[in-house]
Amino acid sequence: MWIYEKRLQYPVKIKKPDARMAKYILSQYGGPDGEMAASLRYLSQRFAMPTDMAKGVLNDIGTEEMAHLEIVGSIVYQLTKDMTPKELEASDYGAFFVDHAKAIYAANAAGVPFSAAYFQSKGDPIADLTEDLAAEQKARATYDNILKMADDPDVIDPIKFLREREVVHFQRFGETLRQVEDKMREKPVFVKKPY
Amino acid sequence: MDAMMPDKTMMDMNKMPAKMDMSKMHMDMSNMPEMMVDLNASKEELMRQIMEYDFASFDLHLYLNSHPYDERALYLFNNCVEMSKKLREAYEPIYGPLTASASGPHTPFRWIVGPWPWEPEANV
Repeated sequence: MWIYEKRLQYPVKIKKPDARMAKYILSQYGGPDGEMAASLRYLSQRFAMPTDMAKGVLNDIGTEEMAHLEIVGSIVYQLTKDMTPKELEASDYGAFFVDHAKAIYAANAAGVPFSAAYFQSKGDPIADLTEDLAAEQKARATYDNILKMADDPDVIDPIKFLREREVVHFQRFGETLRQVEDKMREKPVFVKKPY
Repeated sequence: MDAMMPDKTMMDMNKMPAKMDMSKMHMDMSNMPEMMVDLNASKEELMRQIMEYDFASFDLHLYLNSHPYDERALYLFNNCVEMSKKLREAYEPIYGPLTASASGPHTPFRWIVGPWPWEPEANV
């Protein structure tokens, strides 16, 4: 079960509104390679994992992704909160504003709502952990794309933190995949079927 | 009111009463539920008590969010939190950490040792 801690994992304090940037960053909230997909992917996959290490790694990274989801939501909120509807419209935020005003909604940068189809939970630990490695790299690449367009240090700083965490998670998933593979190699069949 | 004061028979090591300093309270203390914990209980019984006090405190927490001036609910909430803390201190060193921070100084890191909560062995 979970308890909530009333703080961000990394501080967000943005002084300059920028709805255009907010729309791009929102993709890491509810987009295909975003934090919501990451969290739900790992927390769903952990049930079918074969080792305590894999269960623990997915459980805890899935939990950290929820904290990242909160950071991304905080960035988008602070980037848009002091803007008028006219200003938002001029920053290409009008289509989002008409449906969600200044709320945080799980969608990608183009406004497409979040979908569980963004991730798999295959019941095959090799397939799942390999997807997780790719997911971390895709999220890292998305943060790189955001950093290529961002110019406000108040935005760049927390985005760089989130990018760095993708790299760390990639390392941990790599170690976990290796441990699961080693464990499976000890048995005559490569993948143990659950039926 | 008298019924809610700590009973001397509850003051032994096994059954510890809730902190009941009511000298500065002027709320209705009638029909207050009795709170005690059995710290020498079995693993399953300790966990059952933790779940009971944590659920009670969380339910009170939700209630207090929309009734932030309810002294009675706040008093019960604080007592449930205290009971849970005592129970965790009894449970975790013997049966393993409930949060990673309670893993202790020894390797291997006790946090990742199963069973995990979704496994039947972890549920009684």
